[in-house]
Amino acid sequence: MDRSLREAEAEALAGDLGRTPSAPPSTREQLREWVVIGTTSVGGGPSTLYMLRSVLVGRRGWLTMREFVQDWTLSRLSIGNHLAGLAALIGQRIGGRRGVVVAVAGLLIPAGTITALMAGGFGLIRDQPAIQATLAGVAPVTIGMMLAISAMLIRTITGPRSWSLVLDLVVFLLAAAAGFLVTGSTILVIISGAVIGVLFLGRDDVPPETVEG
Amino acid sequence: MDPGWLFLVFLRASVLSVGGQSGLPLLREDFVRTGALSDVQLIEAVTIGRLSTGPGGLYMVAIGYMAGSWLGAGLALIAVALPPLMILPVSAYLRPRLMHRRVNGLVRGLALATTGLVVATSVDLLWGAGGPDGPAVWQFALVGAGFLLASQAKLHPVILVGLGAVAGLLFATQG
Repeated sequence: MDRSLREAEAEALAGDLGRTPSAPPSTREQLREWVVIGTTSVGGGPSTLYMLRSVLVGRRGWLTMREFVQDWTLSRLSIGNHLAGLAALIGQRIGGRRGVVVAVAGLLIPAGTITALMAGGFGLIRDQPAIQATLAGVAPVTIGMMLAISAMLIRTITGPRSWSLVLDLVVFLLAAAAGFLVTGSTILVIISGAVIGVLFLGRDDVPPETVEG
Repeated sequence: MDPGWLFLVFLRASVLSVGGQSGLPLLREDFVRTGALSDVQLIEAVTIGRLSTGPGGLYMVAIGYMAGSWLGAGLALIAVALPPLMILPVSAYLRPRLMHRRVNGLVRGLALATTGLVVATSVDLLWGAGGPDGPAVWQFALVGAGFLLASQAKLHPVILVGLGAVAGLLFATQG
């Protein structure tokens, strides 16, 4: 999360960063902006989050920054893709039930179609020797990026106090070890993490952040 | 591949994931360990997801395409879209409880567990992508470079992938 959004979250949770939003937009207008966001944000979550804020709050003024940050905070508790959850919450705020459908469909369907087209196009050339050589370099970089996102996530969710930091890291390391050593343990590890979290990891501060890949 | 099974696999990964890439360990269990896809294909799907538009997590659509063409991609997309909608009926309950200990403990525990699994999967994928003799030294160096550059967040992911592609062309063709 960038600094300005973090500051805005604190202010929004404290209760005052509102301004009067403009009149509700038409369904067509909503759809157009969601499609624009879904098809022009390249590189994953941070880019999409930036576009959401800049288009919906900044350019169109369909919701206030306070409302945006409240929905964003809430979306971090959703299961699955948090940005899809955020789109649903904002869509509901802007256009009710129809707004939810327009938001989620507009954000995901064009982007998903582009992704499938890229996968299909890649399938046509993946056996070329030059592409294989390219992949031999791209794969480790992608893995490095995945590890970097994981490290960012760990940094943002671990506690500031020494005992809670140790507890957080123990849970993380146990999950990683189970993932390495025990085949088919994924669901058990996830459920165990949830139970341990409810019982031992709760804190009286703002909810932990999660990083969208 | 049975469409019903395919949809349930993606739905389970989507429901149990916290954040963009945390469904990957589950999908690896379902697709790679059953022989439907390879580790290399999984990495290709993640790469395509990073290069494509929209929110993170759409690598599932690329995996869906690889496993079941357009039908697989469509089922994966639906599976990505449905679970987050559950936030709507519970939002009225959750809004006043965002600061509650048990609620943020639940999210923290889930995030830590899934991140640990993603790290384990990443290392497994590196070995899977490295060929029969495992990764070469230059590929380990690229993992480190990708990690450092992505941590600094100064370069766009597309540029990082492009640098990896150039390094691959330089080093893999010499091997």
